[in-house]
Amino acid sequence: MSQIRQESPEQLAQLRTQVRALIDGWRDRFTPRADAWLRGYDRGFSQALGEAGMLGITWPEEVGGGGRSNRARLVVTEELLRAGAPVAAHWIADRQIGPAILREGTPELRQEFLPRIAAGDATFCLCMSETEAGSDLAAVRTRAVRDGDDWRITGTKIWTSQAHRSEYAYVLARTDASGPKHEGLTEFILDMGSDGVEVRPIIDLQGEHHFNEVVFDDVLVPGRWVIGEVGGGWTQVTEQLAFERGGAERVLSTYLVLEELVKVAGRDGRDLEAVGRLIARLLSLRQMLWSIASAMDAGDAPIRQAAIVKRLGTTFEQELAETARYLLGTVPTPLATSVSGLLGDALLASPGFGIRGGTTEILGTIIAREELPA
Amino acid sequence: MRLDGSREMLDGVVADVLTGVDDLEDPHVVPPAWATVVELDWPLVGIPEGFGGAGGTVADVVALTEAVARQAASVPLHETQLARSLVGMAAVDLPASAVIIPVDGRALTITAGDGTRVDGEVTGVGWASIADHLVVGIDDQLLWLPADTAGVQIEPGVDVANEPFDTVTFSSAQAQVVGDRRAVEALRNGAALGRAAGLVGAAQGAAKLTIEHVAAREQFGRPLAKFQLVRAGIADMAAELELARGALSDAVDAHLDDRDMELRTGVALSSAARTATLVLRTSHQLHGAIGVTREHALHRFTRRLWAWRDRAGSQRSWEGRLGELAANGGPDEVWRWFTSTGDGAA
Ligand SMILES: Cc1cc2nc3c(=O)[nH]c(=O)nc-3n(C[C@H](O)[C@H](O)[C@H](O)COP(=O)(O)OP(=O)(O)OC[C@H]3O[C@@H](n4cnc5c(N)ncnc54)[C@H](O)[C@@H]3O)c2cc1C
Repeated sequence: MSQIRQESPEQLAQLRTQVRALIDGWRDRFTPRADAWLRGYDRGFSQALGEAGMLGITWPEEVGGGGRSNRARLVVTEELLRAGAPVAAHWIADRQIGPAILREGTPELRQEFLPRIAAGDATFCLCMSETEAGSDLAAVRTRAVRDGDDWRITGTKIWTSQAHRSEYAYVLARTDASGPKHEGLTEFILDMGSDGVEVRPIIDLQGEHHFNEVVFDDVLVPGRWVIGEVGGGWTQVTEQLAFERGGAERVLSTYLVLEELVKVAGRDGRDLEAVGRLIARLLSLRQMLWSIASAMDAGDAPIRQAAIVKRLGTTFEQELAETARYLLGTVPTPLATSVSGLLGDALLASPGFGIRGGTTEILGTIIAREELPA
Repeated sequence: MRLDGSREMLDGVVADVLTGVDDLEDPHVVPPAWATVVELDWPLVGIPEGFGGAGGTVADVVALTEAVARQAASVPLHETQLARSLVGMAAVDLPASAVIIPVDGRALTITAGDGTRVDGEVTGVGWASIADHLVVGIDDQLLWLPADTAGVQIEPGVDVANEPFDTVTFSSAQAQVVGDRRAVEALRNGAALGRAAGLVGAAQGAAKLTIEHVAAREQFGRPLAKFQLVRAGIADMAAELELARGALSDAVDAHLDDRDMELRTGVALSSAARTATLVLRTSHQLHGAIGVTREHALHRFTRRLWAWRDRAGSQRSWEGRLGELAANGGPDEVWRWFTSTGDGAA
């Protein structure tokens, strides 16, 4: 997996043209919106992307992947995000569950899931957080106990985005409670249609239903659906989180608002400097996204840079929405297909940016540890 | 001369040759370190050998500027490199020790007739008081003249870093045309790129001192570095510096490839200036009282940061220009910028 992946600018430009054409063909079927990678859900669109070879694009061809570079993935994801396209159905699986299975899974597990994820057919939700295990993820209490060759899982997960629409869950569970909390964790795949799975909606502050509470009551999980090592869950999940942080969705969640701002910049006394500052920030962040993708293509693990990009990128997404509010002089309104609606959508989604996927503070502790090792 | 090797090696060399270079006592005489810098041929870096230079590219110039600023050294190095590279053949016979200073002559006027003559006043020119030659960009002409030309008057001043910050007055001073509009743009972009490099270097210097300080200083029976709020400040500086360094390297690529130069320079300057502001505030805060003494080294970095953010066109003017470019280009052009950022790093 650590071979160096080269792609010419022409190949990447061609890919970009393909993604744009695909999106254009769907424009009358979706309403662009902020934070669409969490909230915009259309299975048909995900399958169309799968068919066009845009999912699992960095995975080997033997498992249904595209065999391409991380830079190619950046090209695809940034075009989708700019469009505010409905990508939530496949986002989590394409970004992190697939890669986790590829890194840690057995050859059989890879064959069982990766081709279907890459086709946009198998959808996943992420069952990590619990009420008592937020930032302190190692505190998870959900238990998995052996049942012959298989496992039985019992516990309650929370904040599970799109659990009500997903076929499968990635579950972090405790398989051994006798030792320190970082030991004895294991990663599983679980069929959300199994007996004993209950999904309870949690409505967010916008009145939308995207996340849930998920209760597992003695749910049967086949032994072959363990990802990686039994007891090796902590190391694996830390790696998974480190890799998923450095993508374009940490910068572009409110990008639609910037386009509106650019259209009116300088008019009616709106100051150009504030827009210029946003542009400088935006382009500096793209430089980091590109350099993270390039480093991964070279076989490196740019964990420090990914933490920095998430911390600064999500802050930028918020700053962008607030600057737009200030400069546009528009009163934000709920979910409407207008500038004020885009703004309302962006503002109401913004508190989540610095929380999900590792909070801004936790990322700060990671970055500080690099500068000041214990 | 290509500056091969790592940043650490370069820092080692710079630290060796510039050690002991403290604030200029009298900023209006040639700094003692200049002789050393000249011996190493550094003023000729970035200038093709055919033009009497030492070779290397703008990437080497920026690496050197950053490294010099990381040691808080005061020498008119970037200025001279830039000016020399712009005048090309006209400077080919000048000795390596010549101090050549670029001047943004937006406020000046040219009268043609009996040769080319310059009139007007420019304030805030760095190092003009020790310049041997001036290179002045006015409208679409780049002009070159010895600093002792009749009609050139230089009033010495200093900025908050005690570096020369002079006023230059031209009264019908005769000059030679050595470049066109592109050269004038190159002067403005080059000067801002150098400032961005200086800001990043000086901010790195201040952040390094701060990290050393919080690791060593104890309060409440523990090193400051154990306190989470202190660590948050360190994380902020590290993150901003990483971003500013990235923007700087992207601007270097743009200069090398001669594409979107004004845009990328503006991004680098804005990022560096923003980072400078954060590093200034945070490093002083985390140093406590010792950091505001003359004796402690911190001010050698922070006074430069205060002085440099607005020295090659203000931060505000660059950000306004970025906003203007975005408004003129529209959303598709902005997206093109976004998606082509970092390509040079491929
Ligand atoms: C929109 C959204 C979608 C989400 N989707 C999912 C999902 O699909 N699956 C899933 O598993 N989870 C999901 N989450 C949950 C998310 O991962 C957690 O919210 C996150 O890990 C933080 O945990 P917490 O909410 O319990 O906050 P807490 O950990 O209680 O933190 C509260 C505050 O305290 C700070 N804090 C905590 N510990 C420290 C410390 N050691 N030092 C300094 N500050 C600290 C935090 O930074 C934060 O500011 C989602 C969250 C959001 C907002």
